[in-house]
Amino acid sequence: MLSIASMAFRNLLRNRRRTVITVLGISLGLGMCQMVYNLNLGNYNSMLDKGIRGLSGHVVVQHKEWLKSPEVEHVVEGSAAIRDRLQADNPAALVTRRIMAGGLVTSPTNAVAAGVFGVDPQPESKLNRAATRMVDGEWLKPGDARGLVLGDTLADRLGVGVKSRIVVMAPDPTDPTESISLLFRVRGTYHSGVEVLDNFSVMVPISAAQPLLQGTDPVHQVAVVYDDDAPSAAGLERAKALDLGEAVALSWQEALPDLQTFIEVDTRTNELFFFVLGFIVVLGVINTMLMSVLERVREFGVMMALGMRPGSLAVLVLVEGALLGFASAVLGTVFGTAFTYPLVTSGLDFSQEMGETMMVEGVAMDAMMFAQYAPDRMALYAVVAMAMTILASGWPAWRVTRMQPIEAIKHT
Amino acid sequence: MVGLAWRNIWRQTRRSLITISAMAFGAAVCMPMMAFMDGVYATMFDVAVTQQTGHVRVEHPDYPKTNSMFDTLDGAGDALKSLEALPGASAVTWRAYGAGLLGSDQKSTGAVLVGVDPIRESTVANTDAIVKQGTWLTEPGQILLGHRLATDIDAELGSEVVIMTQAADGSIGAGTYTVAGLVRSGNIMRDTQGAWLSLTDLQELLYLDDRVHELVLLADGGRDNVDALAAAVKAEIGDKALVRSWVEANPQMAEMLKLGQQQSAILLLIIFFLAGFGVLNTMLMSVFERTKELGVMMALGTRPSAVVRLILMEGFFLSVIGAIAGAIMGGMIDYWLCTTGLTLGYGEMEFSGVVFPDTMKGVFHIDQVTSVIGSMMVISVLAALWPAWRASRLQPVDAMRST
Amino acid sequence: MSIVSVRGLTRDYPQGEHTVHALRGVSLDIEPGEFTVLMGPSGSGKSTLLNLIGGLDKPTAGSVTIEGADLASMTPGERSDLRRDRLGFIFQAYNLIPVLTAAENAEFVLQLQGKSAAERRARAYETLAQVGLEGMEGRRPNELSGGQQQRVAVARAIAGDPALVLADEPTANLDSTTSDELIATMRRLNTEFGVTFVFATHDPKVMEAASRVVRLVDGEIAEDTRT
Repeated sequence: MLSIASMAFRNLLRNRRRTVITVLGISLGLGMCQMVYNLNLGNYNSMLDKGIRGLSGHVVVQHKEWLKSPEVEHVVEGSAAIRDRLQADNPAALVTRRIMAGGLVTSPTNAVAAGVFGVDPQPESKLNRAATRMVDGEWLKPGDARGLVLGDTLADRLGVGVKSRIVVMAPDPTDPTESISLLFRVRGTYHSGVEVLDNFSVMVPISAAQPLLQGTDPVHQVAVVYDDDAPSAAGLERAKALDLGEAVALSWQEALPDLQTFIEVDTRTNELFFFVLGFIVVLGVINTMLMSVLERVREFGVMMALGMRPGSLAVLVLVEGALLGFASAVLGTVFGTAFTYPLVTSGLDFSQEMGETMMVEGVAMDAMMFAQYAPDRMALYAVVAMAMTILASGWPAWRVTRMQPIEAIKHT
Repeated sequence: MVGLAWRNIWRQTRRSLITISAMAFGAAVCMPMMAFMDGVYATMFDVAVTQQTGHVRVEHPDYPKTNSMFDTLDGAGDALKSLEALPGASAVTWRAYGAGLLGSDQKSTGAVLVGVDPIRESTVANTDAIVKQGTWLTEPGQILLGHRLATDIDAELGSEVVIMTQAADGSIGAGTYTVAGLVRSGNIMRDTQGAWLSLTDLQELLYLDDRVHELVLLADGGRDNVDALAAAVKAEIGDKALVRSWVEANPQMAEMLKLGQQQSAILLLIIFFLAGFGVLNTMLMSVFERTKELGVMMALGTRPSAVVRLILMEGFFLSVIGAIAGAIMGGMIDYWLCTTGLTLGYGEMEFSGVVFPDTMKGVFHIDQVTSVIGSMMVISVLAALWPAWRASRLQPVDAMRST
Repeated sequence: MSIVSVRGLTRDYPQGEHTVHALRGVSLDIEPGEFTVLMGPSGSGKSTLLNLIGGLDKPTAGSVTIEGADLASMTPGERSDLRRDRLGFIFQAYNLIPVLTAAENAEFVLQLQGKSAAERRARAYETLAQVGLEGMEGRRPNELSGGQQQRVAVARAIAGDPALVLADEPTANLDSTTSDELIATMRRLNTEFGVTFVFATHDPKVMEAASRVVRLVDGEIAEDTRT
């Protein structure tokens, strides 16, 4: 019935100031929630992207125990063959192998316990955070079996520079009571902004790190990374179908459980905050609608006397709530879009508080955070805001149906 | 007038109660949220400052940059005695650091060796709380391992571990120690790489004689007195070594804590801003309903300023009731959060190098209550300003004619 | 058949520890085409009787039958529909719906009846013309004088072709010229279009125009005269 809508609309205009204040309250709340979600989405996506590029891959082959306990002896054997096979199955992707070992990195003047990372120089030059942030010398080259790059802070501590010699002392994988020493030459230093990489890590070609592991042609991970972030499901299927012995092929979702848990917890926390905001706004809406109903008691009584059923009056009140909610949803989304805009274009700088990066579940978050528009979530929140407004009109609407016409008409 | 304002609130009991409950709910939620965040920051502070940098620290000027075994403090023994005599220092300890290969009969790995004075260390760091299994160091020859390190090398309580390292004289140092305990410090680096042994054992292993790398102090009366202590230590030590407060040693931590306070402020602002809309609407409604009555009051000689005061007072009363109700509810949630704690059910979580337990406890501070109640009152009185001003602008004749 | 048939109607209101006996066993029949006035001092029960006839209130005892249908046996929804289709109301305080124009107020009941927009509009303009408000169809209540508002209320009451129009003190808020005009209008509607009216009033002018006067005293019919 057109005129219920138009009556509802006119009723809202009757007390413009109150309507405007209520709509502003709802829409500012909605806009803020949308902005916070957009900022978080930007963060989550950047964390996942970094996690996929640096920690796993869109598809990753690793020892079946690696996820639970990333220990040196949990290796994938015959890694070159697996790499070639994965590359053939995923021609568009980068396929890289990684070793994460540890040892005592010694120079003539100092010794530091550090992570020793073995990497495939070629694909990692596009994936590794360090490779794109060299401050001196060059990234590792394929075929340079004695090359080593290390963090700038670690280089300072060891008192070494490009061309210096470094000895990595590590336990002998075949006999833990013995140690082995590997000699390297520094090819470059990097500044990644990640404390653990800059202070406590060296990177060497994969073949040079393999003596630290047991088995034949061992690595810890063979990772498939798609550059355009559009991994092929078929690639994962084929990888899962491979006979890998002790190793398994995992999707990034399976390989990064901690990161996803973090995102989930963070999302839940934010939703709790949204809920609190929503609740406060809803109380305001209930108040507004209740006021507007109570001041029209006599009018409702007349309409009932004229033969309007109480149900239709309740519908009128609910439609008023719906219009209020709709206006707020639209205005709120405008606010949300506007609030988000500077966060998308200029970002939010936390470098004072975080330094260059902050480690979260093994992923380095940059101090410069950018938001990302999430149209589906913004729409969802807008719909929820509207639904809450209609629900908040429920009590006032119910009160209308309980009115006795005779008392309503007498009401002043 | 106070009585009049009070009675006016209860003329529309339902409306006032809804407005009050919006504010009370906001307060009841803000308080535990702040307590929770303070709990998170307290954990980070404990890991980064109490267990590591101390409130004030003394080092060789080059040590922060090089972390070299050779950049030790000269005359540390005398310095320790004089610092212990400082009235502003509640606890003092010293430490030496090294790096080595640490292995069980199964496996070995690189480790950060922390040499501590067992008794003094307990007065500075929360040693009982971080020992997850076994006991803190009690006698020479014992070692404590980070719990992740212990898992990595398959060591357990009572295991023998061997450390191999390059000593200060260039020789290869080696020693065998018994695992007395496992440490869960919350610092992910330390838990994966750290090994704690007594200072004398480490000095012997590294041929360091009686040299140490740092002196660490806690300020009497906590964080607020750090600057005074730092000044006193500087006066005592002079140019002989580098003296820094934790803020200087770990500026990020200081900024992070500041960020935490800003977050709380923003949270309060958003929640009470929205609650303020409710107050604004309620007060406006109540002023318009009473146009006639206010007109009569003014016709009888009430000054506009008195009308303003009346309306503001009504807004104030609304917020006072909301604040009391909110503080009671918030206090109950706080009590639960600070004693039982919130179990998320996702297991431990790493954030910024700190591992948080699955059950997070809040930390209560009276500031949380005062800032919540304060901001609530300020915002609701602000929200009552416009209605109050409108009321004072009424012309008595027009107002009385209105229905 | 009578439009309204009231039998033994009693209505008590509890008031604190006392009971107010507003009606004490009233019986009355209203025939089509009558212009009936319920007279009596304040508290004599005339408004109560009007409200009970309109199904806005429930009797303590007795029955009200409208065109043969017993109100007590109806659901609230059915009573709503009865008011919509068979009854019209005019109140002392006009009680127009403030957000609707004169024409929209007049067609409100038609809309509830589910008439088409064109039919509604035509009927609304027609009834507004009958009460002398041509040219004012688009005005909102606050743009009309009291007399004009009450005319809109009359138009609203008759627009749905009710069997009976119930009017509670319709002239009480009007000055004497305006109320004269209003009474004349209603009387004309009665004679020209056969609209049946029942008034509760103590305005002697309304009584002068009436075809039947029922005098109520202390909740009982003291006198019932047809002129």
